[in-house]
Amino acid sequence: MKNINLKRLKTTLTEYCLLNKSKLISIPVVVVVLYLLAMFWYGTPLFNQLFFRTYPDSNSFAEMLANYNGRQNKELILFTIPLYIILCTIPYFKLLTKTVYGTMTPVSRGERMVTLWVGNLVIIFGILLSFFVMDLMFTSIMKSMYLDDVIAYRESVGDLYYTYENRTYFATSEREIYTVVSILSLSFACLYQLSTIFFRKYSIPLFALMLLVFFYVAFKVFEALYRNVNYRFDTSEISFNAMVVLFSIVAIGVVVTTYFKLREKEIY
Amino acid sequence: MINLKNVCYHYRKGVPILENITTQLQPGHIYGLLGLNGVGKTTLLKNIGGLLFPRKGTIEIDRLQPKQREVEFLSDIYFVTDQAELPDWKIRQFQEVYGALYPKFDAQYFDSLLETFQIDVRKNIKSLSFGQVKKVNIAFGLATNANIILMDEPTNGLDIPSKTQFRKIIAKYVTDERILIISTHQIRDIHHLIDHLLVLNHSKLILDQSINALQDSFYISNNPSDAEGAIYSEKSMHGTLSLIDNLRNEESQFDIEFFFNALSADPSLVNRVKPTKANL
Repeated sequence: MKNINLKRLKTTLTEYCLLNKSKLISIPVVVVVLYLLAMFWYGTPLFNQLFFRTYPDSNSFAEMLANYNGRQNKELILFTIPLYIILCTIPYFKLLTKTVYGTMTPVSRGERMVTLWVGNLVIIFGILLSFFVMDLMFTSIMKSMYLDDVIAYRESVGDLYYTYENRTYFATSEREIYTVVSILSLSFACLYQLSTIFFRKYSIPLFALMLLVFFYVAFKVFEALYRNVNYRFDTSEISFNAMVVLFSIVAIGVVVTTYFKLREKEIY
Repeated sequence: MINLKNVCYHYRKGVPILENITTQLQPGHIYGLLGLNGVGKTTLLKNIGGLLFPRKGTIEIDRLQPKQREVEFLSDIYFVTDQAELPDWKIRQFQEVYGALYPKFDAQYFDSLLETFQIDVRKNIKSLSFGQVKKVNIAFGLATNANIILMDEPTNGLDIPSKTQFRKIIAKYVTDERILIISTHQIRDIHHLIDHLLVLNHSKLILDQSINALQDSFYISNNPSDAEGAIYSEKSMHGTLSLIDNLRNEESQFDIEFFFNALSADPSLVNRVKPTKANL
């Protein structure tokens, strides 16, 4: 904690926010727009009804909604996380590794790293939260508007105990997606930031290569771990724990390397 | 005190930029760092500022190594670069964000300097001209009240009244605790301020002398009859200037630009500098 001073940390956080102000503000807007786009994508029942009035009465629309399960692919929106991490890291790293005033500002590397990770977390959880809220709101609206019609339709065809499935307009995304996306996004942030600081040129293609190598090694490690697992244990549980441990070790290693590498950068 | 010991630096192996630079820079002085283009002046300043790391040798500033970039070191040094890359924020915002990081930052002094330079603090840095951004950077650097100020071509891009203001401000800034190192090609803008010369030539520090010591060693004459037998002479609009050994211990107005020209023509001139107490 010797390295971290709250006053200076506040300053670096302000600096990060000012550098990425418009991008950070745009997060909820982008998520809402993309979510609506996914829901009203070409060919979906909502699109057909809104633009072409394909279904002449509420009954046939309810039938369509009841039978429609998926292909909106709303989770694709979460790919904006790596995009935002890249977009917000670039100006901050440019400041730290390419400008004289950024490098000579009296701030410790610890404070820089904390700022960077606060930024990463704001982006990751900001997008996830926006997505969650939007998902909840949209499904609630859909339920309040059409669920009764859908239930009535299902009852009319003899399904007295209708429960909507995942990937219908009435179901929010599965909870697991948030865990998986959080882990993957944090790993992405670690590796991307390390590659940016390591490679002066071609950092993105080299990062892609690094990512491939990382997943190949991770796959081999899982394979090895799985092979040695005693059959009496629940292997899926072990794989998940092993994955968490592996990701944590790699992430800590990468963050520590980035921390030390940050100091070694010369400003030409 | 800035202590450089056998500092070597190269960007590419086999092409040295700085070779065995050894010197001690004392507080209370304004150092003029001179040299031809590409000789390593900015590289030396960047080494002192901890932006570049010596390939060999060491730099110590009050027992701290610049390359470690400790907060304690960074909060007492400011580098005014030739091309200021300040963020595209409002000047006030810039001052509020970064000023808070310098323990001795004086916001009132910053405002007064900007007023002197006729810069509106409410403006956005993005909308300023090259010279105006430089003024903001100079004002900010001086308002940090840092004990070490490095300046790379500080007067480049400044308008004529601002150059005059700059001289006045710098003259007031230097105290017994502070060291200013100014690298410039526009020596006439600041030659009255400099009290110690550092000259780089072919990657080596060939001259490290106070102006007093140089005045003791050389006499600059504008008498045409002195041209014959002078170490170096040069015709200008104002007549012929001659550099001669100061054998009679006379005092002359020391023209740094003229002396630098003489030194560029014949670097062995440094051997004619009389030994001083500090050199012995």
